[in-house]
Amino acid sequence: MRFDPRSLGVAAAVAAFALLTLGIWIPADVESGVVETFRRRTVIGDAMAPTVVAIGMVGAAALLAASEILNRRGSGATLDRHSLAFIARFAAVIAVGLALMSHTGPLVVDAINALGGAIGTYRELRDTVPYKYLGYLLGGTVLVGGAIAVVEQRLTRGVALTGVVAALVLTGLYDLPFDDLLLPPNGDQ
Amino acid sequence: MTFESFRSCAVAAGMAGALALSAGSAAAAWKPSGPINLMIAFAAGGGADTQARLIATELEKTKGWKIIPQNVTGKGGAVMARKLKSQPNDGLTIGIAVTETFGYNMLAVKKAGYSADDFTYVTTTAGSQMGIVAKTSRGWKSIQDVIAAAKGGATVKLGAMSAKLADIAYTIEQKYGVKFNTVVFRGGRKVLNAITAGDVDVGWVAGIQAKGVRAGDLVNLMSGETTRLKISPDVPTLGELGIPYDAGAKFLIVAPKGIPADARKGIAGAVASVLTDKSTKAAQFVQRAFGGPQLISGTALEKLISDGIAGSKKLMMATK
Amino acid sequence: MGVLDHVWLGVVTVFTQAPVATVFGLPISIVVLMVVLGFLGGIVVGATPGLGGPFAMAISLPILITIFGFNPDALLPVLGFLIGIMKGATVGGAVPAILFNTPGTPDSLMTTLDGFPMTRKGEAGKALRIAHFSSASGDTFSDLVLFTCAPFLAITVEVYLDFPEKAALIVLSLAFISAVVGDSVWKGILAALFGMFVAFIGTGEDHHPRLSLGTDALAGGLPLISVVLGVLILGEVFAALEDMWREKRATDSISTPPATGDNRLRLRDIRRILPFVGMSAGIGTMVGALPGIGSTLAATLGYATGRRLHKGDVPFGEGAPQGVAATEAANSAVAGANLIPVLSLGIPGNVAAVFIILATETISGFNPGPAVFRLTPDQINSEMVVAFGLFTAMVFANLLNWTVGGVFMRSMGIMVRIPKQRLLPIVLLLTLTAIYAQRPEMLSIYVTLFFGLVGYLMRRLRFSVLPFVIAFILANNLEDAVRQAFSATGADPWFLFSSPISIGFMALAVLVVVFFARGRGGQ
Repeated sequence: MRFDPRSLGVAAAVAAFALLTLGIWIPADVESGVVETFRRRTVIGDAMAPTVVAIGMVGAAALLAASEILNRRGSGATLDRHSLAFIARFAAVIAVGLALMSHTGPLVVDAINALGGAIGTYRELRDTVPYKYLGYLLGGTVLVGGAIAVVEQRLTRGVALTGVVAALVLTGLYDLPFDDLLLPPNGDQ
Repeated sequence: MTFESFRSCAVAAGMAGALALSAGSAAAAWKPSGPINLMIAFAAGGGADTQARLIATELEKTKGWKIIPQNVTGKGGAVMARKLKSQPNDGLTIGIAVTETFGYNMLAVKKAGYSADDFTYVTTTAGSQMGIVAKTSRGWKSIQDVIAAAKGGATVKLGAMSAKLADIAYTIEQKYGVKFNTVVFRGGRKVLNAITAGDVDVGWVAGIQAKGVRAGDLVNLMSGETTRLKISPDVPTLGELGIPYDAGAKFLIVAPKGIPADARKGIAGAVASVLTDKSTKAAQFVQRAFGGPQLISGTALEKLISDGIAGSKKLMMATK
Repeated sequence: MGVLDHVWLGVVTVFTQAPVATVFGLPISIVVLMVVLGFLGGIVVGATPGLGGPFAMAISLPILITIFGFNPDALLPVLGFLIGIMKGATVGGAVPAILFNTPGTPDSLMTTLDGFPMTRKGEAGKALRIAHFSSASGDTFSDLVLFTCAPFLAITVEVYLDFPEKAALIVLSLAFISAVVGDSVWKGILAALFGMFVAFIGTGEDHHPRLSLGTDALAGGLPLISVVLGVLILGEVFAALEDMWREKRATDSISTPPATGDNRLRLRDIRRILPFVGMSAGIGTMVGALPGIGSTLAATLGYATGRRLHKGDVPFGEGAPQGVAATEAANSAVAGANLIPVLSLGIPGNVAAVFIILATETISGFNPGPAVFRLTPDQINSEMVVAFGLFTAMVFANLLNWTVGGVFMRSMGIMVRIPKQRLLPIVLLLTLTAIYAQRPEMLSIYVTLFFGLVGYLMRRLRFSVLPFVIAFILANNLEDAVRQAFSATGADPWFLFSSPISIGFMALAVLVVVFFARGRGGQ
């Protein structure tokens, strides 16, 4: 069997990342050095652990590359362009679901206020029924229903119903028994 | 009960009572317009976290407010402080941390990302009972015995849970011409574990040693507070040893800069009334875990913060 | 008063304290009720993909404190409930691992390796029965050891482990896990190093949060639950959904595993798995008794040892019942023995034990430490009574496990009837909601999704996720132990090689890596 170029790619990427970390990231973003002497005492600094690990990564990446080339066993990796197509679709569903989750509640409250409702800000209503459930229910339904639709490659009434029921059941599971737990997005308000 | 502890209790109760009374009218005037987010700068489940959650529960019960506690941990409260700073100052977001978050911990870093002026300080709730602790079986009775042992050539390993406490230990070393091997741990519980397991000889512990001291397994060798420890009134304070620093810390409730004055008073008054009512679980817990409430608010609290900053600066200069 | 008097008092307290109801003329004490509730609740939580015992304990501890208060009377009901959850969740945790390949905690990760292939062969029922039998056996063995050896063992162990030995022991565990799991030693080590690196972001002793890129998001360190659940659960959800998506594109249908194989647990099966159960129960109990080392390591060691022993027709990793048995017996055997360092030193070995310590810290009347097992003439040591009450609650939960546990656990298996492509998206939402409930900010969801992608890529590139997860969890402990060892020895650069024990551990670590690297290379 021929060796798999993906393993060499991973090894090269890891080694590059580790070298960048050693050369730039650690010096720029860690306050103390590898070993520090202060108060006439020598202690290990914050840079020691990431430095040792990054050096280890370079070594392990080199050994991985060497063993792949020598053994030519094939890595068994299954990442290909179909994977990218799937991940792109799935990511789109998650993005839409989370956007609805975050913004539905505040948008509805703003709309009611604009129409003369004067019910107060979403921040003040984030623990009030029904406003606190709006984003989670809609976003959760889209997330679950959308994900099933991507895999089954069709959107049936049953799929949509699964999404609605899942969001409703999870709302009940987390919100009803536990007074202090917050559903998304109410902790960010 | 000794007269000393009776007097301090009476004074604390009296002060708190007066505060509660003076704040009572203001508390009636202020009511939050929605649920309050309480950011807790401590890990879930510990003593400090339990205290915050019990106060929240009690406020919900007695005042009818809705409070949502949330743990925001990291870097001695700095992560919570940075997050709190940018929240709306409407009284609907408050935080609970220790005074060191707005003192030593803030000064020790080049870019803290917040300053003491970014906040309105609402009230303290309780304080530490900071001491240097050892196992009783070591036979030491006071810090002087440890210093004598170190002078006699013994290696003394000292556990500390913060850089500030390591600094103060260093001033003890300087003063008495000894050397400790100072080991830094994440949190007082780990220091106490290390003392119990014999991994360190002595260590700073902020109050959770009380149970062990009462049981006779542990002994306080020194008080890190400006006063003597309630449970071990016979051992000297740092000040009595000629070391002019305060190793103690107090829990305090803070809000983003510029919350309405009535909200500040209202929250402080409500917390005071919960902690001085001996029938509440919050008050019972604070009594048992921290030796009773310590309620400082208003300008006295602002002075406490600025004094803490001045003391930390002096300590940093001395140990440079 | 002798030890036996304390044992008897502990037993009596458990069964008579504050009776709340009467069943068939027998009063049911509050402690018994709480253990039963905790145990059944624990099975449900453990059997739900994406949830685990630690999460349930974290949520219920504040609620329990609110109900029972802080007086010593609250100790046994609260601790009984927590122990019930701990045991129930350990048994229940095998359900999603076997049925869906989604372990709720790292402890049951190794269960998936043979449990899920058994499900695909149509032997889900048998796999669940084997998991239950092994889990209950390991648990029983461990409880017996706890009851008899607790006072003596922990103190002896702690005497021999100082900072350098602890650091060396963690290095050995990491080397072992990296080398044994997965199909390439170097991939395993890379995964472990990457996990450690992630753990170092935002942590450390400086007041400046290292490697945080100046962001508030990274300043507090990456949340444990987001990283671990992201890699373990979301990574698997993404990969499994992609497989079904490909299958649907290729064949226009998604297959469901049949349940047509042999699903009984026969005497022959028990005879076959018994040596593995015994070996793993011993390993789990030993690992549990060491302070500060968790059940995940026990499961890994149990599985790895089992794989060495095994000579059957079905190899490990392809649906061998012995693999399920070896893992489940080991991770269940940790629970009981783990209370040895917890009660006598106050040092937890796994996440579940942390909550037991937190409970004793909050409620008065019990102070974990050597005083718990101290005998004074003519006096009752009330802490020892609580300790034996706790042991009684554990044995009682164990009896529940043998009687109703298996039936209740298998009834959770009904979830296998739900088509997987419908269930996994729900698991996704459930996991994200659980994480948000613990850290209520959208950021924690984004972090979880990111690590879900990491877990997915690792699976697709054939990197094992276990070394990553374990290294992430142990990295800060290791760094602390190394720094503390360095400080405590007064800056001795050879601190890791300062005692025969630590030299032994370090040498063993190197040997393990070299041995497995050569073995694999020759294949």
